Order: sequence, then structure tokens, then C-alpha cells
Amino acid sequence: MYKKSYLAPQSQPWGRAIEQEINETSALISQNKINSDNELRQMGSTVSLLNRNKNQLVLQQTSLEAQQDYLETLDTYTTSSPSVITINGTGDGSYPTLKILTAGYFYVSRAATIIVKTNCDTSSNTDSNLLLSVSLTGLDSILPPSNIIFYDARRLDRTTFNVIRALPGYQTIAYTSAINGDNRNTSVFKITTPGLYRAQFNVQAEMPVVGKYITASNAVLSATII
Amino acid sequence: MVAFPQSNLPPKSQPWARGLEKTVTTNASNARSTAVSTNNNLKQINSSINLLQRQQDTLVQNQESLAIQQAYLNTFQTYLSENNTTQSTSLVAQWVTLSTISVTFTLTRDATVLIEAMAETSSSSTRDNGSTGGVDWKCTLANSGATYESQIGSRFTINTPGAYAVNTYLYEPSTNSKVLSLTAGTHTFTVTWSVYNYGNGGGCTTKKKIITATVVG
Repeated sequence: MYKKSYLAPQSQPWGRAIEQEINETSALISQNKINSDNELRQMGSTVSLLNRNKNQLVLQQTSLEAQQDYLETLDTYTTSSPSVITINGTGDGSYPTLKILTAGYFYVSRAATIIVKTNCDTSSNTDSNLLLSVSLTGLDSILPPSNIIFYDARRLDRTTFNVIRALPGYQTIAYTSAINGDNRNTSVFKITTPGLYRAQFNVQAEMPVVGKYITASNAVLSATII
Repeated sequence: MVAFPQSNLPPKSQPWARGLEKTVTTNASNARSTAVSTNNNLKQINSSINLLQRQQDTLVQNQESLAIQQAYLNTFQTYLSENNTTQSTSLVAQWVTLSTISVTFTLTRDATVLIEAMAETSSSSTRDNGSTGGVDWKCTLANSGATYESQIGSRFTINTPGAYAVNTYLYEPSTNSKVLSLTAGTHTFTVTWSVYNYGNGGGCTTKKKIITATVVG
């Protein structure tokens, strides 16, 4: 509301027109402000909600990534050697290697349990000793490798007959089998240090006597991180 | 542009009046155009917010789907139990239960599970009369009343009876494996190794014993 203008009567319409235009402009500005404020308030609330959702999404994303990293560690590394290796006996008493399988180096990013499964078909036309060994070797940039070497070996002497007391003329026994059979093995290694690891499976056999042989085939190795 | 009536002011006040009219007119015009542009800007921002909201909804759905997928993948676990204690018996001519280990695990869904058990065994069997000696190992898996048995053994036979003794040394893995369809819930599998020495002397030993349950489907 404006004060009295005291304009001359003939100028009063002009004065009122000016006042009216100013009033309308003020009303327009006020209404515009109210509308903008309301809109902005609503937007602010929506943006806050979006922001809260975003924080939730970031947390969920972090959790998913951690879970994904973990799932990616649940790997199995395998290797095999199906070929038939035959060693003809020389009787020199040595333990020649028939198969060596190696898986790795593979990276393990956390403390983990590693299950190493191995198998190998063997056959022979004589009695022999079979030496199967499984090892997990770790390499790490901080610890010297020797600090984190694991070794697990199993010696399979199949039906090795040993005549411990025989009277003259009474030493005949029937050998039931050579070393055909089940060579499956499972070894468990627990590691606490992340790093590179290698699993190895060695198949060795006692050298047969001349005229006898020993074969190895279908060697398999799998290292599973759990 | 607003058309104001004649101001009829004294000639000296006319420039002031025209200046006033111009300012008022300009302000009115500015206010209208500001209202229009503010409204347009707000519409654009609103549309961007709506787009962000739709994108967030999509992200939430994607994350939910990933979490479900990950939870499923996470069910493909291997459960393990092991015992490296050496256990022995010198009993002969009877089945002897030598070692037992168990693995307990909880499935969050119905699943196909591969159960594998293995023990390192070593044994000796002695005969000093003309007869058969040897050793049999039994590896028995049990779960909720069901049992699954595997057996291995090695025998030797004396061809020529006489007064001598034969000792046989056997080093073999005793294993058993089974694929089973299991329902969601907690399951316990117990594996037992038993041995029968057909000789009249010797000893039977288990060393490393392992049982694993791996979800494979």
C-alpha cells in the first residue's frame, strides 16, 4: 500500500497505473518465489533420498565387490598327463620319476585351505615300491620362500612281501599282485600368507629288475582353494 | 510493454516520470521472464532427478540380482574335516573299528553334494602256517541312518605249507565317495574305517584321514 501521492488530479491515473504495475510485478515475484521454494524443497527432499539411496548402494556395492573377490578365490587349478610312461627294469635300485605334474604358480589372496587331489594309474609285472609325493610350495615377496614351503608325502608300498623266516626249501610264496591299484590321494594345506603357490605331484617307482617293467599313466592333479 | 496513461506532470517532471515508467516496465518484464526461466530450469532439474531416480531403481534391481546370484554361487562350498592322528590296532581275525571322523555343514538350498573320504592306511599281516593272510579295509559313510560302504583288501596265500612266517606290508588309501541329493538344512556325515587282519599277527594303522563335502549342483 502506497502513501497518498498528492499528484495533481490530472496525473492521478498515471500514478495509479504505475502503482498497479509495481504491485503486479511484486505479486508475480512473490508467487514465483513461493513456487520455486516449494519446488526446491521437494527436490531437496528427493535429492536427500537419492543421496541416502546412493550411500546404501555404495555400501551394497562394496559388500558385493568383497563377496565377488572372495568368490573369485574359490578356484580350482588342474593339470593332467594321460600319456603312458614305461620304465623297463635295470635293477639298479634307483627310484626314477615317472610323472611330475605342476599346477601354478597361482595367486591366493587370503588365508585359505587348499585341497590337493591326485591320482595316477600304475601297473607293473613285478612287485615294486611306489613313492607318491604331493607338495605345495609358496613364493612370497616378503617372506623367504623356504619359510612357507609345505610338504606332504605318502609312500605306497603295495603288497611288498618280505620273507622274514624261511627254512631251506620252504620259501615259496605266491605274490598276489603287482602295483595295480588305487593311488588316489588327498592332501590338505592351510596357508596363512597370501601369495603365489604351486602344487606338485611326483610319481616315482622303485626300478624293477631286468625283464620287468612299470608304467604310469592318467596322472591328474587338482588344487582347490576353499 | 504496459501503456501508461499520460502523466500530465509538469514538463520539468516528465523525464523523471519516463525514467520511472521505464524502470517499472523493465522490472515487470524481467520478473515475468525470470518466472518463465526459473520454471523451465526447475522442470529440467526435476526431469534430471527423475532420471537419476529411475537409474537408481535400476541399480538397486541389478544389485539385488547380483546379490542373489552371488549367494547362489557362494553355496558351491567345500566343507572339510581332517584328522592326522595315527591310530592303530593289533587285533586279528575280527573287524575292528579304528577311526571315525565327521563333517557337518548347512545347506541353504537343496543341492547335489559330493562326499569324499580318504584315509592313509598301512598294515602288516603275518602267517606262519600254510594259509591265507592279508588285510581288508572298510570305509563306511553314514548319514541319517543311511550307510554307504566301500571295501578294499589285499590277500596273500602260502603255496607250500611249511614252518615259515610271512609278513606282508600294505600301504593303501582307503577311500569312499558318493554323490547325493540333499535337502536344505544341516547334515552330518560320519566316516568310519574298520579293518580285518586275516593273519595271526601284525598291526593295522590309519594316518591321515579326510572327509570333504563339496556342493556340485
